[in-house]
Amino acid sequence: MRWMYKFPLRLRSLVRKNRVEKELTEELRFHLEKLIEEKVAQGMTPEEARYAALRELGGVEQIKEECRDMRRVNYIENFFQDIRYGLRMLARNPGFTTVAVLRLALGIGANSTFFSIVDGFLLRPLPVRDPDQLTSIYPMPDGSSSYADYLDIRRQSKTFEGIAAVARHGAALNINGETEIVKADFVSGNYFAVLGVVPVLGRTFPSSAETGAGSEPAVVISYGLWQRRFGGAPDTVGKLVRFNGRNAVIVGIAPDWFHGLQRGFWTEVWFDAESWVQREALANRDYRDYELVGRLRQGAPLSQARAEFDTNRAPPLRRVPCKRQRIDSCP
Amino acid sequence: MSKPTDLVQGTLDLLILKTIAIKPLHGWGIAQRIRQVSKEVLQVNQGALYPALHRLEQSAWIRAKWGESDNNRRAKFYSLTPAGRKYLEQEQANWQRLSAAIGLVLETS
Repeated sequence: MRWMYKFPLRLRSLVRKNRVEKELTEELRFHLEKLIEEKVAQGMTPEEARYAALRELGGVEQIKEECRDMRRVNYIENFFQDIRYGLRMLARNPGFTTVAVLRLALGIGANSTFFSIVDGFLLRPLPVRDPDQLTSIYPMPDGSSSYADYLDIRRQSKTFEGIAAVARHGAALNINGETEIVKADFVSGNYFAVLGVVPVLGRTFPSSAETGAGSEPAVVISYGLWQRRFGGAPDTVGKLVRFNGRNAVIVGIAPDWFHGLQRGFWTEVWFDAESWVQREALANRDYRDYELVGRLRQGAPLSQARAEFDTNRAPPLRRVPCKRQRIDSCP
Repeated sequence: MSKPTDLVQGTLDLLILKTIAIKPLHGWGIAQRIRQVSKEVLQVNQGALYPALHRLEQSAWIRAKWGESDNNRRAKFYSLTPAGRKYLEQEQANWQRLSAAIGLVLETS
C-alpha cells in the first residue's frame, strides 16, 4: 500500500512546487533556531550563537539542494521499482492477469477495428492526386447543379484548373446476358483528369471530336467489376455492356483503390454524361442532378475561388445568356 | 566522534526509522535523540539528516506532518508509515544478523 503515500507526495512535488519549497525552507529554519537556542543556553550571546549555528549547519542552500535531489532522484528510482512491483504482483495472480489482459485485448481490438472503419470511411483523404486542392462547388444552396449550369461555371471560372460534374445513380447493368444492379456515376468527360485518376487499363473518356457520330457511348468500369465479371481479362477493354437497352463500350478500368468520391458508396461504372444522357436533359436547367468538384490551380488560395463565386452569387444562373434553352443553341 | 555517514551505508536510515518508531519527531528532535541515546557517540550531521528524511519520505517509509513543537512553533514531524514499520523490522533483523556475524568473526580470529 506504499503507493497510497507515494502518489499524493509525487503529485504534490510536481504541482505544488512552491509550497514544497517553502516548507523546506521553514523546516531548516526551525532546525537553525533550535541550534541557536541550544548555543544560547550554553552561554553564548545571541549574535555569537547565530554565527556558530550557521557555521555548524554548513551551507543551508547545499542541504536544500540535496533534499531536492532526493525528491528528483526518487522519481526515477521509484518508477522502476513500481514497475517491478507491478510485474511481480501480476505474476503472482495469474488468474487476474489473464482476465485483465483478455479484457484489455478485447477493448483495444474492438477500438482499433472501429477506428479502421471510421478511418476508411471518414478520416482518410480521398485517394486522388493532391486531394487538398479539390473543392466542392455549390452553385445552389443545396449543392446541386444542372449540367448546363456546370458548363457555364466551367467556362467562366479562372481559379480552377478543372471542374468536373458527377451525378450519382444506380444502373441495372447487363454484362454477357446477366444483369447486376450497380452504383453508377454519370460524369463529365474530364472527371478522371480533374481527379488525377489514371486507369490501370485502357483510357478515360474520349473527347467528342475523337468519337464519330453513331459510335457507342464510353464507360469506365471499376477494378472490382472487372475482376468479378471479366475475370480480370486483359481484352476487356473494347467489350460491350448493356444498360437501359443501349450498348456502351468499355474504354478503361479504374485503379482498384478508386471507388468514386463518396465514402461508403462504391461506384462500379462511370458513364460519360455527354455521350450517354440525352441532350435535352443536359440542357435543362431544372435537372439539377450534378455535384461539382473543382481542382484549384496550383497555389491558388481558396479565398480567391470564393471571391470569384461571390461576384457571381446569383449570377451563375443569371449571367447565362440563354436560360432554359437547348444547350447546343447557346452562342 | 563518529558520524553515522561514516558507518555502514544505510545505517542512518535505520537510526532514523528506529528513533521515530516510538513517537513522531521533527528533524531536530531526531538528531538530539540519536545523540542522547547513543550517549553522545553518534552525532547526526544535519547536512545528511534532511536529505535522508526527504528520501525516506519519498520512498513512503515515513510520512511528514506539520505540527506544533514544544514552544508553539510550527515544525515538521516525521512518523513511520505501516510499510515503514515493516521495513524497520526487516532492516533491524538484518542489522542484528550482520553485527552478530561480524562479532563472531572478530572473536574467533
